[in-house]
Formats: sequence, structure tokens, C-alpha cells
Amino acid sequence: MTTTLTPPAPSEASGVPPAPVKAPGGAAWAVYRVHRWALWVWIAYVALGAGLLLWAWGPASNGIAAQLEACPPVTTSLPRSCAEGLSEYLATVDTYRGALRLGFYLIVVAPLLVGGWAAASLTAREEETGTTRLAWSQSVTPARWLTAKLVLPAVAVTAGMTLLLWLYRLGHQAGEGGHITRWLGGRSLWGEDVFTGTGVVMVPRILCAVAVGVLLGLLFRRTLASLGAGAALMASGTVWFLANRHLLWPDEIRYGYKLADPSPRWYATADEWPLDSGAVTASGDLVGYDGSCLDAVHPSEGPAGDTGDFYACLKERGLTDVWATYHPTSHFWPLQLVESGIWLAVAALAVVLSYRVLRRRTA
Amino acid sequence: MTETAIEAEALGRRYTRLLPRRVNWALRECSFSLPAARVCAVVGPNGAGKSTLLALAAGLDRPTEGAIRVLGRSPADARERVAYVAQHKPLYGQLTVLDTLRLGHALNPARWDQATAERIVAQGDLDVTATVRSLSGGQRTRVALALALGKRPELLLLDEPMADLDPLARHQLMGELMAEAAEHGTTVVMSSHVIAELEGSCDHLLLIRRGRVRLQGELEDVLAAHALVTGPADASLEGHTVIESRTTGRQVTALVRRGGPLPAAHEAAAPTLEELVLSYLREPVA
Repeated sequence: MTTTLTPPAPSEASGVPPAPVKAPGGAAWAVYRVHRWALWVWIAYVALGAGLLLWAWGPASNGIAAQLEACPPVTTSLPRSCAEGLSEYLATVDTYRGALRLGFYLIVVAPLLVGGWAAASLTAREEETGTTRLAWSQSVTPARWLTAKLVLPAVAVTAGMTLLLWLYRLGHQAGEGGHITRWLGGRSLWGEDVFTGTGVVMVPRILCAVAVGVLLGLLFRRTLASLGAGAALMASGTVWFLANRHLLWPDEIRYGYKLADPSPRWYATADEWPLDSGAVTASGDLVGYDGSCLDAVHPSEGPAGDTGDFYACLKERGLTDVWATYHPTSHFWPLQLVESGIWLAVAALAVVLSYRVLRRRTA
Repeated sequence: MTETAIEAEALGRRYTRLLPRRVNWALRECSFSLPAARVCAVVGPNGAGKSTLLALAAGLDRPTEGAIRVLGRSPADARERVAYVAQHKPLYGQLTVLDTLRLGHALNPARWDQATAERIVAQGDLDVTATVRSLSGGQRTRVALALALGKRPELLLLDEPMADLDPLARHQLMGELMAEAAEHGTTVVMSSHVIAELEGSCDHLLLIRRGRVRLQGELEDVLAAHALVTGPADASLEGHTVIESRTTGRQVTALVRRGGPLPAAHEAAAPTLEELVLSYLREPVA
């Protein structure tokens, strides 16, 4: 019989559970852990928008198609042959457009929210509560801290926004591109919803929101002020482009009145973006014009006139021709790219300034 | 290990407020040298520039003029070897204690000492799954110190570390801190205006007043260089620097910096650290 003396097993004296041995992911993990809730909120936001847009793309546009099938149109105009089907059809179109519109609102409001959040939460709050002093005195340099603060949110918002835009495009094409356009008329390419919803400008815009927000937070160092400034700046940028987007690419000018289709007027044909129009004087100046000579072509009484009547009328008023400026359909992508470029340039500037502010502030 | 922990040369930091315009020198013409492997106390009244000095050493601020070197390098290059605990113990309130330590690990992958950090936390008898927000002031201080010590710093900068603690917690935490520092040979530089918490634990003194260094040196040397003298009011104290004197009737009590043997007419005593510091703080500004 042998007795073995075994030393008592070392008991864990500390009440702390053993921590993972591996170093967890550096500054990226730190940024993720600190802003975990924001990520979940963003995921929920994208899921809400995606749900709306998917619904518009699937059930709603399928419903429209099914109704059209049940009550087929007999002419190129609306299916007036079955009256009870028509109102149902219009109601379905309304809900489809409503869902698409809500999805669009979520897309276009996102940079405002992200701008405010980035300013307040990513940087200002850390400055206000002093946790930057904690973060910047670790082994990770302040510059790397800032990089993680910029890159992680940028990846998250780009992924979310890309998904929303893709679904918007699907939903838009399913309805507007198909039956609805044919029977109810399409949406202009240049409306804010179609331009931003089916284009690419929203991705640079939301990236800009992150960069500008981070800079504002570093500058103001106050949560509330930064929140307001971030959201307000993004909102004013959004509104500025809404009002002045047409200036971003040289427009085209067209002279001459044309009676024929697609439009009897000189200034707007389908899918073009009409900007301004007027008349040409004898000396060749472009002046404003009220369009009163259209009465010579389309009098309220009597037979319709022709192009000759129009020009005769112009001549009586000392004018020689009419003109119109517009953006043709082919300007859609140049305008998208210029606007995107501006957002990206502002974002890049904000990033550079953020690093400079940080470098001035820390050793 | 380098001989000098912190070396400052004509160090100055100016803060400028734009509206209304106000220029304020938090530190000016500070030159000093703090030895390594010691516990150095930075003392001075509120607003003397202690926090500014520590922030400059931690690389969280840039000097307006002059230079500061930490562990023989620039503060930026020494960042990995220096830990800093700010005055208000900033921590992420939404993180649990455990996640706060993981944060320390993530941000200091090469140096992190989980065991030390866990030991400091465990000694405080606090729930590691609680969020930092729910902790008391003393517990927060403990977590902040655990985060700093977990980095295994060669230099530990503490800005008013014990200011918001009750005397018992202060005594206990200070003891743990000193034990950790002694075990690893860590240099500790701590600012404080509670002189009682420094006595017995510090061996080097840096006294700052109005942004300037007023007194510095090994605590023993500094104490030995001064004397608290009591003597007749008309007797001369020439040759000695009078820091502070108080006259009561015909007697005068003065704290002097010895310039040689004290006059026989005077009764001399060694000042305590508190008496010494208070005299310097009360000294009228020239």
C-alpha cells in the first residue's frame, strides 16, 4: 500500500473569472465594445428600411401586377372597363408608393442622424467625459484610435446604405419601371427620391457624415453642441444639393419651338430636367418670356395653329425665337459623380483636419 | 531602466481662450528632473499646474514652450511604457468591470498583465459584471488603477489619485499601490494636495506654485535643508532664507532654508512635511 502525498490543488483565490488569454482585437475591438449599442440601433434602422423596401419590391408590386392581370387594360390608358378593379388598383399603387417613400425617407435622413451621432458619440462625448484621456494614454496611439473611430463606423454605414440603395432600386424598378409607369406615368429621373434613391450619392454623403461628425466632436468637445452641429451641417448640405444640384454640370440649351411629340412645348421632353426657358430678342439676347404666344397655337376658340403662327406671334413682340436650358438624361451620372465627389472631398478634408487637431492636442 | 523618469526644461503651457480673450500660463519655465524607481509627489495648491504637468508627461497635451522627456524619450514614444490616471478617473460607464479590463488588454496587447489587473479589482470586493456606471467613487478609482497597473508601466502618473476616497479606502488602496510599485520597480509620480497621504510613501518632492517649480529634491534632503526656528524677534536670521515667519509678541517663529549653522539664540526643530509644504504655499508671491 502506498500513500501518495499530493499537493492540494491550487485554488483560485480571486473571484474574477479567467479572462481570455488572446488579445482581443486592439483598437477596433475597443471601438466596437464602446459603441456596441449604436451598431445595434443602426442594424435595426437598416432592417426597418429593408423591410419596407422589400415589401414594396415583392408583395406590393406583385399585387399591382396581379390586379392588372385580373382586369386587363383594353387601351393604353387606364383599365376603365372594370371600375371596381380600378379603385383597388389605385389603392395598391398608393400603398406601394407609400412603402417606397418611407424607405426613401429612411435613406435620406440617415446621414443627418449619422452626422449627429458621430459628432456627439464618437468624439464629443469622449472629450466631455474625459475618456479620451483614458484612450490616448494606452499603448495604442491616438492616431490609431482615431482611425478605428473613423473606419469602423464608415464600414457599417457603407454596408447598411448600400443594402438600402440596392433594395430601393429593386423596389423602384419593380413598380415604377413596369406597370405603374405605363398606366399612371412614371416619376421623373430628377426627383429627389429617384435621383438619390437610385443613384450613388448617398454612400459618399453618409461617409461624409461620419467624417464631419468626428471632426465637429473633436472641435466642440461638447456632446449636445456637436449633436446639433453634426445633424444641422448634414441637413444643410442635403438641402443645398437639393436646391443647387443642377449647377454641378454644364446644362444644355435648345432653341426653337416644336409642335410635334413628345411635347408640344419647347422646354420639357420626357425625362429631361427643365431648368429655365425664355425668348431670344432681335439683338440675340436671352430674355424671360411668359409663353403667351402659345395662345396663337392653342387658342381657346377656333382651330389650332401651327409652328408658323407661333413664330408670327413672337415676331409681333419683337422676339425671334425661344430657348430652353435643361439636363438631358445623359447628365444623370455626371451629376451623380460630381455630387459624390464633393461629398467625398469634404469627407477627406474633415479626416485630414481631424488628424491635425489630434496631433496638435496630443504628443 | 533610465536614471531619470521625467525631465523638463523650461517647460511652459499656455491656454488661450478666444472669447473673451484670456491668456493663462498653466506652467511656465519649469525645469526639473524626477528620478526613476522612486515615488515622487507633485504638490501645490489647486490650479498650480499639477494636472497640466502630468498631462504633458502622459503625452495628452503639447507644451507651448520648452521640452519634456519621459523615460529618456518624447512622451509620444514613451506612451507604451507610461500609465496615466486622470483626476476624475474617466472610464466608460456602459462597460462592465470585466470589459473594462478587456479594453485594457485590447489597447495594450504587448504589455497587458491580466493577473495584476484582476488582483487589484479582486481586492476591492466588487462585482466584476457590474457596469462601471454603477460603482462607487472608490470602486471606480480601484478599476482605474487596475487598468493603469495592468499595463505594467515603468512610469505611473497619478493625478490626485485618492482625492475622492474615504480615509480607510485611501489607506488601503495606497498600500496596494505602493506594494505593486515596489514589486515591479515602477516609478510613481502622483499629484496631490492632501499632504497626509504623501507622508510615509513618497521619497521625492516637487512643489509647484502658480505654474512654477518652487522646491524640489529628495524628501529627506529637503526636510533636512529646512528648519523651524523660534527665537527673539530682534535676532538676525541673515544668511538663511526665510520662507515664512510669524511674530507673536517678542518671539518669532520662522521656517527657514538653512544657509549655514543657525544662530545660537534660536531654537531649531525639524519641520514636518506638512509644515514645510504649507509654509511654501503661504509664502507671499514675490
